[in-house]
Amino acid sequence: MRVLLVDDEEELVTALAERLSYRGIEADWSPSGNWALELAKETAYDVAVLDVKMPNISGIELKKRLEKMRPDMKYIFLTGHGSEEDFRAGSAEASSYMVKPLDIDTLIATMRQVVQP
Amino acid sequence: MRTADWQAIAREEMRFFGEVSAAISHEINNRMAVINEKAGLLTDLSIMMAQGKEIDVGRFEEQSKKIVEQVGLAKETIRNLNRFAHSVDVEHTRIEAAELIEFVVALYARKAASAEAKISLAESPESVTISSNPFFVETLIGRGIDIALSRIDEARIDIEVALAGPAASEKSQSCVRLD
Repeated sequence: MRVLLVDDEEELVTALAERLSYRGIEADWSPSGNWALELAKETAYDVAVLDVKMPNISGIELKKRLEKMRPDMKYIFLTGHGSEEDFRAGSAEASSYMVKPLDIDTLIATMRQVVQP
Repeated sequence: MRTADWQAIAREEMRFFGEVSAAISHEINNRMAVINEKAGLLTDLSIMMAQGKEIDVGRFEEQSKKIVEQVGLAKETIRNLNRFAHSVDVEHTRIEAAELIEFVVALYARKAASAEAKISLAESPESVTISSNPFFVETLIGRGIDIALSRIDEARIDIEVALAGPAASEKSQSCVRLD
């Protein structure tokens, strides 16, 4: 499984990518939507884990742009709020929606679940 | 003022209080999320080391330092939250205007960064003290910044908060003035 992690909290995504690699999951990371689009041009990821609220391109907007490029990619949204508004947006737009801080085992289980055919 | 005017101000103050509290809680949660991943990474490295894998011990120090940095950022955010919450304690007091503006600008740092805007306090020629309700003044400044932020479209802009009209520099694309 190839994973793309996108969150403007760079310290979070770098640590998460490293922890996933120790569990046999290849994960690339990006601190911005624009960089994520460049990565997705080069690589066909199975799943993208996107922070909902990011400067410049939001997670929801990024998903729309990624979908055009990679129609088969699955999405998990992350939020720090857990607000009703985020929940509505996240559950409507993505395969799954998770609230930070993350539990890595739950994240992996969710990623496996969303990429299942 | 009419009762309806007072009610409108009270609603605006409540909205401002809610929005700032939500932004601060989001910021604290972000620090917790990073600390959570760093702590998880330290645990992973410890387990691998115990299993006999070669791990650079410098990585433990590096990650511990990053956790301490995140705790420092969270402490600053909590300090601001505490000050903000206590600003409703007094009805009327003497306020150092520049210091209060600087405080509200700090509260808006994350919101501004999300909008790719930079907020700064214009240079003030001298200390200005006003006598007012601190929370009401915070609400006014905050709403002024909100109006400036709402004018941002695609381009990055600078917002300058000035104590008086002439203090705002011409280079600012958007300006909040407290005349």
